[in-house]
Amino acid sequence: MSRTILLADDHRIVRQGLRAILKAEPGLRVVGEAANGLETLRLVEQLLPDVLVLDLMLPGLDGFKVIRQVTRRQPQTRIVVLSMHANEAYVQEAIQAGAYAYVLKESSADELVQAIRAVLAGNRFLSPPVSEQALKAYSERARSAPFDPYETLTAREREVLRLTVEGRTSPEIARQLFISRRTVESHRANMMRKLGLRNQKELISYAVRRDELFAQ
Amino acid sequence: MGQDQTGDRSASLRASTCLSAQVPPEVGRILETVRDVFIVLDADWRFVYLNGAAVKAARQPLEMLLGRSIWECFPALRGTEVEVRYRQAMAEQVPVHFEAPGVLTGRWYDISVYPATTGLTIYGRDITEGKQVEEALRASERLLRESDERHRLLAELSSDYSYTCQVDPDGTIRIESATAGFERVTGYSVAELEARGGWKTLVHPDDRDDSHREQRMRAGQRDMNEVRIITRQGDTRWIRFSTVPVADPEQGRVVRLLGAVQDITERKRAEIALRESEERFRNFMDNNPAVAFMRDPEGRYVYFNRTHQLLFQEPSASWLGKTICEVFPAQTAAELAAHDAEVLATGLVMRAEEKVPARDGLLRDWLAFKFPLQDAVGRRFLGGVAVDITDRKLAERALRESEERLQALSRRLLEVQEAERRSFARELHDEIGQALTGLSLVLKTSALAHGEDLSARLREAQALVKELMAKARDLSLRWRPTMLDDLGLLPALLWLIDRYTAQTSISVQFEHRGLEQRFRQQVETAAYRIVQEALTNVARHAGVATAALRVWLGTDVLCIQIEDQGAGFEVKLLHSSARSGGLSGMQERVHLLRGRLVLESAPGRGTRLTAQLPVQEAENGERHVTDHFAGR
Repeated sequence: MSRTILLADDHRIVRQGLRAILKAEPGLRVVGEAANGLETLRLVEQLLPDVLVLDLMLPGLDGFKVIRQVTRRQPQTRIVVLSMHANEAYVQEAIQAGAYAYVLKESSADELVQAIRAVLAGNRFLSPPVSEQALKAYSERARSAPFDPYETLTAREREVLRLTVEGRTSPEIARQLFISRRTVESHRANMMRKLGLRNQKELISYAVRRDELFAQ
Repeated sequence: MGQDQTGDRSASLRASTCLSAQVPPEVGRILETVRDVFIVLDADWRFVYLNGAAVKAARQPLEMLLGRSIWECFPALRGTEVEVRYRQAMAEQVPVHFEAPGVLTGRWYDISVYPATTGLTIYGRDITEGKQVEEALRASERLLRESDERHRLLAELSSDYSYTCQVDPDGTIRIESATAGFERVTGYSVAELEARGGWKTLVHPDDRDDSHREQRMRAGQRDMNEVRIITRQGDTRWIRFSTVPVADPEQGRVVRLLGAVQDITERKRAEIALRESEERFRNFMDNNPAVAFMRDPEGRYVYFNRTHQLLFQEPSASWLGKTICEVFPAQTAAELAAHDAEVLATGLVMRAEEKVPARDGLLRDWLAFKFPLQDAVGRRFLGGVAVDITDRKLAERALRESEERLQALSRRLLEVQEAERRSFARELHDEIGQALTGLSLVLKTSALAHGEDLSARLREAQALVKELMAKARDLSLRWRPTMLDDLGLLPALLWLIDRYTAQTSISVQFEHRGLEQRFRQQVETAAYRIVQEALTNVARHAGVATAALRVWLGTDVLCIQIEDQGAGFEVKLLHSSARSGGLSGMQERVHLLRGRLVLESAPGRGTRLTAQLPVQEAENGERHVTDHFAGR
């Protein structure tokens, strides 16, 4: 019994090319074609294909959204993404959304067939130069660092921070730093915004936390 | 006299002797010694007898007078009352009595004339002294009368009425009498007022309690007081009393009060009106947002309103009497003094913009109106009113700058657009056009090929197509990375850094926090372009192998910081330097989002650029953050 495939791409010539490649493959049968995101969703629900070969850049509903919807509503349908983007960000986004394979449009026909067979076997497939290692490296880089915005403050903002934590009022700080009160308030507002703080209480607890970090 | 009358003399002497003979010798002696004048005339007016006093008064020897006519001896008597009376007595044969002054002596005589057929007997008593006393008495009476009159006039001039009050043994005070002015002022006669219940009923309720004053007056003290009364017509009038108590030594107490009253209503009204006017002036001045002041020609403060005080002075310090030189920096004082002097010299109102430091010492712009003033005694002052136009000036400047920037921006936009189109055209031609030409050639030759040759040529064509696809993708990403729209800021920045490092060999230390979410498109685009531009600047100017990029989410703002430890530059010279182009582009992007851009740099100390972009679209038009360029 052959496995069913739905093709989704907004270019008819691409769909025809894909259909031609897959026609020659034993055990695989193209059961439908969709030209946009919404049509893809409708046909997936109607045809319940084993594999969805999906172009990321679809009009109407973009490819990532289609992946999420299909993964949620029809998890048995495995998705093979066909994309012109070799960038790991796209690959990661697609895999995280629920795609099983990521094939570049510039890859050979063999790679697409390989990918379809891999997902049918329950495996992931990434077409070179995309690789699991590259993906892992990208995830590392994309992860938030434990990052202290204190370093980003200007010298003036640091002084205002220190004096504010010591309990000085704006007029007092203005006198001490020989600047106007308005300038002090502007520095203070900028400093608070940069540190992600909303009020005096948060400012004090931030300062305490920082002091503890320094002490260690 | 001096006329020769010797002819008659012997006859007169004889007659006198004859009369003397008629008078008893004792009587004659008496007559000679009295001070009264005693004269006897015959029917022809000739002297028959004169006693010693008469001879003395006549101032001629007796023998020159006897036997001669009185009119002949004393022609000065003719036409006087003396002649009239003598002739009357002689003619009517009746005694007459009168007073007359002596023609020679100037003394007064009380004269009695007794007629007889033989002549007249005249008796004159010297009453000169009595007359003088009488005259003195009359003069003194006249003086007294005049003095009284003067006092009355003075009293009327200095008071509207005067009065006397009787003080009863039980202390009750009743008006006894008052001058006519009483009724004029109060509208009541004394009797009417007493009938109504006395003076107190007239006094305004608020001023009625003066028992302690009455007490003092009863104790003999003078008093002066101002009270309001309500007249018969219902008007409220102010009057002033001056009261003198009069004591009776026998009773040992004050029995009477004498007083003068002045109606001071007009003065009081004027005073109240003046006070109200002053108060109104102060209220208007003190609650005015403008500062107001008065200075004398030496620049000494004589007046300022509360606004002036609040804006310029420390709460403890008073500027009254101080000069502008004492309270302002020299340069400010000189500017103010020049304006003041011009106003005082020309006498014209001046409208001037002045820079004067407020209490915090910061110079502010003032729009001042200055004018000359003169007081009642002719002293000259400078008056002034000024409003703070600093904010307006700043707003005007900001508006002007913004307009200038907008013009520069649109000019640059056109230039950039043209440059980009030129660059697109060239890249399309160079990169894509060349490859397509190559592909076209390959396909042309493959049309003629067969078998293995055809396969080889098609493989070549496919390689060319692959290359073309890569080039198209590369161009597209370079113009605008699709991941910025498809995936967000973080993937786009990661791609940008990769590409940047590959092209420039500058490694970028990228730290970020809170970028997992998507931001609105303008913010993501601005953030991406700012990083792109700043990194380009680092590559062009800094001369470093590494740069740091920090992007994080603050309080409602996306913060971006690009820092290098490279060459740096003098921030003051920024606008004339080559960097200003790229920087002003960044500034524009930040301004459009109402964000803030801070540039810190110094020669040899690297450069740090920090941008804050509000995550939410600003609801009002106000920009809550501003640019700041500083040395480091």
